[in-house]
Amino acid sequence: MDFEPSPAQAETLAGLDTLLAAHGAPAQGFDAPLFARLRAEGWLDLARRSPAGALDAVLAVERLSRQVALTPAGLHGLVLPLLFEADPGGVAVLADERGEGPVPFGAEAVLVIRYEGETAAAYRTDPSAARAVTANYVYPLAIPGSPVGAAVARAPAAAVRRRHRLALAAEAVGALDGALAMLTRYLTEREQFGRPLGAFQALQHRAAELAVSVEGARWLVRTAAWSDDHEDAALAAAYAAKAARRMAWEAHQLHGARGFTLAYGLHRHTLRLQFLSVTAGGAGRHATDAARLRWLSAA
Amino acid sequence: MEFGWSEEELAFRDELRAFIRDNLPEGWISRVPGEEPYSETTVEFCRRLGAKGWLAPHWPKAYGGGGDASPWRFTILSEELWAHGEPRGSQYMNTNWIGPAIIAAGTNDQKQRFLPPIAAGEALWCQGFSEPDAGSDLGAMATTAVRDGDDYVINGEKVWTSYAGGSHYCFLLARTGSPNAEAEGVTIFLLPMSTPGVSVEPIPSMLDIHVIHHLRFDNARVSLADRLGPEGGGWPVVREALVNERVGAPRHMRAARVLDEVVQAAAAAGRLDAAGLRAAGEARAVCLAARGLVHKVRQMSVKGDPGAFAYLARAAVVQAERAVAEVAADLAGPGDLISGALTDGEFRTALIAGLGGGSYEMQLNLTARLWLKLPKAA
Repeated sequence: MDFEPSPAQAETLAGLDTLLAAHGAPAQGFDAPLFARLRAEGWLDLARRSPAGALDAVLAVERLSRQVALTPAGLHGLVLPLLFEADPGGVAVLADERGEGPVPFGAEAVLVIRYEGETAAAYRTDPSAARAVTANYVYPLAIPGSPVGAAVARAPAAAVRRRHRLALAAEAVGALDGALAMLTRYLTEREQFGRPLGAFQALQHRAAELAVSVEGARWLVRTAAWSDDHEDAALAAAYAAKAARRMAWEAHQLHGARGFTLAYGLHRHTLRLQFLSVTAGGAGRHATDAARLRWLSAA
Repeated sequence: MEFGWSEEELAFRDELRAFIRDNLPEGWISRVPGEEPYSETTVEFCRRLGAKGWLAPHWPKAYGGGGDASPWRFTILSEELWAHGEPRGSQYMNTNWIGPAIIAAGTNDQKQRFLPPIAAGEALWCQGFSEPDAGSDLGAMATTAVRDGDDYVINGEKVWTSYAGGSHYCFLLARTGSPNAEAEGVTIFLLPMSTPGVSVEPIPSMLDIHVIHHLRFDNARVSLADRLGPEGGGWPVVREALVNERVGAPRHMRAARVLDEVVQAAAAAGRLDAAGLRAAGEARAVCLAARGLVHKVRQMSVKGDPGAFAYLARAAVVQAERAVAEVAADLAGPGDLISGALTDGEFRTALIAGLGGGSYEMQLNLTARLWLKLPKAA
């Protein structure tokens, strides 16, 4: 039990910071150059390197998300290692349970992973067949093309769901960090009635409860990545989804109209949080699955 | 960063569970923790824990402890005992923060007199903090201690004191400085409850068997030898001790166990619908989130002061207890409000959780100020 990064983990995260600093301002859509660098420098392979690599991948996804780095690093870092021993190249996406909705980076996908009962299967797909949708949630969303040919890889659906939940929760933690940092700064600097907003106790309590949920989500997803256990991942995703929804409401409410402006940029976190909170069935599905695993699986 | 338990830690948890199974009456989980602080069952259970060296594994060996440098054995102990309804009564407090405060600030004589009996499970303590006009605002306390030769003379009253009826000692805060000095001028006394001039009266409450008391001090004389730390220097000792108190009671472990029981009972009775299942999953997540945060505080405490994170973690623990009480109520069946039923106990326990050891709102204030660094509220 150790909550501090090991020297190796600290070095890994410092390396990621260096890469992000060198990369400069995040792109508005799919950040293809950043994704290419992450791939080239092995950042998508963390979970392949050691038995506990899922935790390293989660730490990296948190960090990338805090910077609003728009890449499918979560899926590639956590889910793809279940299907492919080595990086298959290109962009892969995970279709929703019914295989019909828009997904982040769907327009780039050359591989689509689909749930088929007890297994999940990866297929080739043609990105030119993808259909973009109009949706304003920061992630570039599109309905990926149909599967082409036979499955090229398979993995148990439960394992894919587990790692996807870790990816979603880690992504949410990064966005929660980003939103809370903006909110804290705003409450400190913005004055009304002759004092900073953050000096009003009614607002302090709301901000403090947000801080509890951000830290709760962070350590739940990290411990779930360490155990790499179905129930733990579902619990972490449920908690993170609820924290995400709450932050989306509260960060905007406490920011006033300033939070709506594109120039200010709060939406880069909150819209992603809202998206993450409904993905893969949202908190209700995650929590129900966790409850079934704990209390009903033997029945 | 890794979240595994060592082989030794896992073996210890197993050994402890077996001990609890062999030494604790069944059904203890449905009690409000601390409700029988001086019953023969509680006292004997603690003596047996003490004999195994399991009351204070984290204390130095010189004072009857186990000399553990790692925080995890004591963490596992607290977790398992809370998961079984906390059978230590008031004695969790002794080993969790009263003893550590004496280790930190006590004289050699005090350490020799007070610590070994605590480690052996032979000493019962209560804490004299809150007063009629000083609750969250502890700095407003009015109980006075006036020096008279080699004694101090105590006058004043303390309220809401758990465990006082059978305690041997009180960890008492009194004012030795000016009444306007707030936290300055607060001094700690390790007061024998048998001292003439100390009276204890139970306060009738809705908490059932968990009894709270009103303490009155009428010219009670306490020896200089029983003053902990310097005169007027009590506050830093208390602040340090309260860090331990904030995370010392892993209520989330008890809550998670109660959740298991109420969900299984509801499932068996055919009352577990989709909404209940979902709510139960969400409540379990809140319990595990609290557990992770408390573990982090435990590790930070070993390396130094965990500071603001302890307040944040404590708020999470209260949320866990509340979330489970909510689910327990939602899943309650016809007999579940009968005295002694799990759901009845959980309701009362959750009511205490947000107040005992400092109110939930105080944790939020301190989280906002010290963790988020927001300005001080006007």
